[in-house]
Amino acid sequence: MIEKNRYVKPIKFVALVFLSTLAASDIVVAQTGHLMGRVRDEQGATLDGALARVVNANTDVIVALTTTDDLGFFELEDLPGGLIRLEVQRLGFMAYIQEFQLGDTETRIIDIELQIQALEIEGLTVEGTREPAEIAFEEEAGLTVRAIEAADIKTIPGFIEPDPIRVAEVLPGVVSTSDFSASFNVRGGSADQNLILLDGIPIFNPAHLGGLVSVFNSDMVRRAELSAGGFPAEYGGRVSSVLSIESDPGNGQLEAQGAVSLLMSRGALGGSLPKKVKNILGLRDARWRVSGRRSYFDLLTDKIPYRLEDGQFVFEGWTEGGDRLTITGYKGADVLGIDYTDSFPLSLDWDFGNALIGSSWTHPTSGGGSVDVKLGYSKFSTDLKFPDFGDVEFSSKISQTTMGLDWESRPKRGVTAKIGVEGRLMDYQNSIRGGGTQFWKVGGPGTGTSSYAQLQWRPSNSWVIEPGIRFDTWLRKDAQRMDEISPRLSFKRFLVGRRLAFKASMGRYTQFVHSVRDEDLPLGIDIWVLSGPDVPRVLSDQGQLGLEWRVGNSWLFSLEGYLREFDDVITENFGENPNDPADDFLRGRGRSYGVDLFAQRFRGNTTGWITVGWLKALRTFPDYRSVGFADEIEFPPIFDRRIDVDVVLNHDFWDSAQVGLRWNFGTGLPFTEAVGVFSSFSHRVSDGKLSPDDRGNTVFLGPKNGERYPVRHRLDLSIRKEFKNIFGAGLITPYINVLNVYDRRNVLFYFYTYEDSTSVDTTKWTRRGFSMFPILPTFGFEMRFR
Amino acid sequence: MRYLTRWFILGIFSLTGCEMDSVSLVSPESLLIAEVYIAKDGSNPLEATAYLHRVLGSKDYGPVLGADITLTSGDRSVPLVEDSAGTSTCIPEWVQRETSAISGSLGTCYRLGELLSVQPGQAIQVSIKDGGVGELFGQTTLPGDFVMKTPRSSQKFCRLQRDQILELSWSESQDAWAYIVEANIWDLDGVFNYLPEEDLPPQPLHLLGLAISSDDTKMRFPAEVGLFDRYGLHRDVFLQLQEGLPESTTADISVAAVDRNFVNWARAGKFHPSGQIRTPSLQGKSGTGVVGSYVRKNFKVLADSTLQGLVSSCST
Repeated sequence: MIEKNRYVKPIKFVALVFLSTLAASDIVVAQTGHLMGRVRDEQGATLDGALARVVNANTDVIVALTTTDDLGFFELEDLPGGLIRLEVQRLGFMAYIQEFQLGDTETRIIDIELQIQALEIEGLTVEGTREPAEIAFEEEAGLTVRAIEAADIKTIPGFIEPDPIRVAEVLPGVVSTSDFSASFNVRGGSADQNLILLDGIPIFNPAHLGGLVSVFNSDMVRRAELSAGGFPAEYGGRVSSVLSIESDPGNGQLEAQGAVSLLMSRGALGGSLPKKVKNILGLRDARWRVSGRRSYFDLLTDKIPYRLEDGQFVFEGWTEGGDRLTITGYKGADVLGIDYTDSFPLSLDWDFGNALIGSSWTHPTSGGGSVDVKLGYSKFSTDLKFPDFGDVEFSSKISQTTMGLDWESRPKRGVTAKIGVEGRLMDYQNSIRGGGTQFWKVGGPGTGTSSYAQLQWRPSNSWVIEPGIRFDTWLRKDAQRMDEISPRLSFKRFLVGRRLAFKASMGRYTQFVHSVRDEDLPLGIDIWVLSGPDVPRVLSDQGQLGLEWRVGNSWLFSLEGYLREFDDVITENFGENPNDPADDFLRGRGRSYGVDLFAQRFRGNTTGWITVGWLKALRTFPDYRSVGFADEIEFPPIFDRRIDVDVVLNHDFWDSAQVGLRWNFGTGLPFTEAVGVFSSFSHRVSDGKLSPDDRGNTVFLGPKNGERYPVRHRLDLSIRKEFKNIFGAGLITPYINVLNVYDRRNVLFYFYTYEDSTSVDTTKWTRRGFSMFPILPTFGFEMRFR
Repeated sequence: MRYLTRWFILGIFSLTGCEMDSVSLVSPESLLIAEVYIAKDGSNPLEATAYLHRVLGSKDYGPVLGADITLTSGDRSVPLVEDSAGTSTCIPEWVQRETSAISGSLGTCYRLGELLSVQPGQAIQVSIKDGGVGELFGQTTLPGDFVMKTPRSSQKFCRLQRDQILELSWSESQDAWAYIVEANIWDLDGVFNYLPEEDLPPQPLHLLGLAISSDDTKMRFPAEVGLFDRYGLHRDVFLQLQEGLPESTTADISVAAVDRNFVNWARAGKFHPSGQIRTPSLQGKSGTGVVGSYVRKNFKVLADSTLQGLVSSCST
């Protein structure tokens, strides 16, 4: 009895808080006016991000506002009857204003065409424009999403030039393990658990130069969006995050862009199809852009026979009926070709790169719904050959063909339903052979299907509830079909006049593809394997709770806690039995939990954000080095950065100049200490004797990831200045990036050496370090001509 | 591959990163390294050696004397004893001559003190007591016996035409994880006498070939032997070896079926900037090491056209 009473009070308190939260909401939808429609430009292209607001025409008080979605759709609910004024605005367009009488229970559909503003007025901003942060705050139930627009991507200092993937590092919950690699880890997930999409098509190896530079040309990017958790049912394929890069098809005007940096040059050209062609194709508007990049190493010196190159194109067409057709293509390659010399007797050819093509057709339906059909193909391959020895080759390939259909509808006010199906055909081949021996060969096709149904229900202005369910199947030859049902549930409760929101989400996520790249390597290429008879799928159960608070007109604060469990993650088994194809990988499990704090100022001359993340990540694997005596070891993975702080600031000066600043602080990452080294020998079977091994000493290791590097911190700076009306129509933007302004020597790794072969002088056992970037000033300039 | 990757990565870092100041550390723990190998060659007595050394720079670094090493198979145990000939049983003389450069030769060699009868497929346990400080122990299973098919087991030497590839083949060895083919090729220096002295191939030229898994029982000699040795050779030499042996050269060839422990110790593991990581088969708090075993076949190949009719062809 005493024990029971002990818990009654807190239970009552929790129940009271929950009930009062519910009671404060208005579950019953009032029968009031309702406005919806689509906003297009003169060419018929729908305009996303346009602000639509309703003003009481008598009092000039704003009664409702919203922003158009990707298909230009807006919906305003709970409007009072009477004389109202609808105002629709978007930067670069003349405002649309119309007054009319709205009945008390009337639903009116209005399609709007905005006229292009002929004169670009400097300094003009659209009053009441909603930033991505505000849109996410108001519309997403549980999804943690942060978007960065093209202009911000360019002001965040990057390695040599602006880099859309590098900006992901500065978002909450994201840990980057080294300056050298563009790969990143989100909330304790492995890098291969991030889905990276270019216009909805997965890209398997999003980096050139082994990770130094991303494959994305910043001139072609409209927006980068990172979803870090709380995914609704439509998301699948990876369990940790989705980084979505959206191409910019331009505005249809003929425009040339170019940039020169220390590493490479890039150019882009955009325009619109001739009217005749548009008519033949039955399109009202058709805009396109193409781009190319190439590095100079090999042109400047024959000592670096390496080049990177890529090309991208995007096309967006609109029919008279408002249907949208998009096509995206990308091809990139890194090529290293070494001819033999006196000092290097072998010739070597190494190339790697991605290729993808994708298209989508979107048909808007009445009432704000849409049907979206997509088709895409993506491939990554790498091939390392020694031409003098045809039998020596390392190759890795993976491809994915995707076909999908999504249908979104708004069957009643406050309810958005979405269902979708997707089919995937994947194939991979990994091979290492040489000297007449096949060291590793795995591969084969697999087929997967996904279907989902999700509902976004807004029972009132105070609630967003988002239940959903996803069903994934995966089939490989000679393997039992894998079926996974993934329920998802999110909700958001607005409080304090929709300025404060409490949100929660939970769900199950599945992944049928793994990268077996050694994450301890700061640089590297992802080598992919598909789930199958000997490779499990990853299953992850995740939950998160958060508070979001919008302060004033320009601040957003967010605090989120999360817990993630990962089942059947894999790692390469360095003790694998060559006679057993089933033991190439070790199966393990993982857990991570943490808290992310995010404060953003998204409006004003100085914008930016501060993120503070606290993370604890663990992995548990069988210990292949334990000679069979220990079953498992638990250790923090290399990306277990306990505290990670990012400060990103961008200040606009009055004279078209911008200063971007990024400061990162992180506590030390774990590493495995070498507690000693010993001489290495190879045993010769011909005479039974040992001979020195020219691969160097062998390391005697301490506990796995049992030590931590020192804290790291780094300040990066970017200064850009626009010069307009160059040659009458151009814009030139020189820029300077300075990475690691105060030359902090952040440790990339320690290596332990013993240098004297005969002495036992203890001072010879030393620890050296290799730092990440020293201070690294770079410069370049960008050009744009219309 | 991992070796190449490591140097590629270090090359990139050297362009963009910086080496930091070194920090002197206290002496590392005095850990014992034991490398125990057991070989069976036809009907010859079992061979077993153990080379004990220590972590570099540790306070007891130097010879490891007085260790108590025991091999056990079935109910019979035999000791390994310190080699009265110094370390020559474990380490070639040329390595000993260069002791100043090869710090690890400051170890102690042990060899089998009594005959131990073990047949292929049998397990052998090893126990190493280091002066009462600690104990290492492990087990190996001698791989199954195999026979050479080409050349036949009965051919202890055979003739190969110049510039001819010999398709070595053998039967499968039960439980072998890999086959190692080693070749010591003699008299290449005479063939390539036009090269500068520093580019001349060593006498003999030692090449290592690998066949992975128990059913990979073929290898083309010499083209596929020496995959890991090519970088260190002059281009003319390794291109010639793609075609076959040149005239007037001979090769001593060993084919060995090796066990799990041998493979795990020899192959590189996960990346570590300080050096190689090896997978041990000796367990104990006082150190690490390997107990590997193999079954071996030896023969000689002569590339000499004057021996036609006198010596049987390797391919017959």
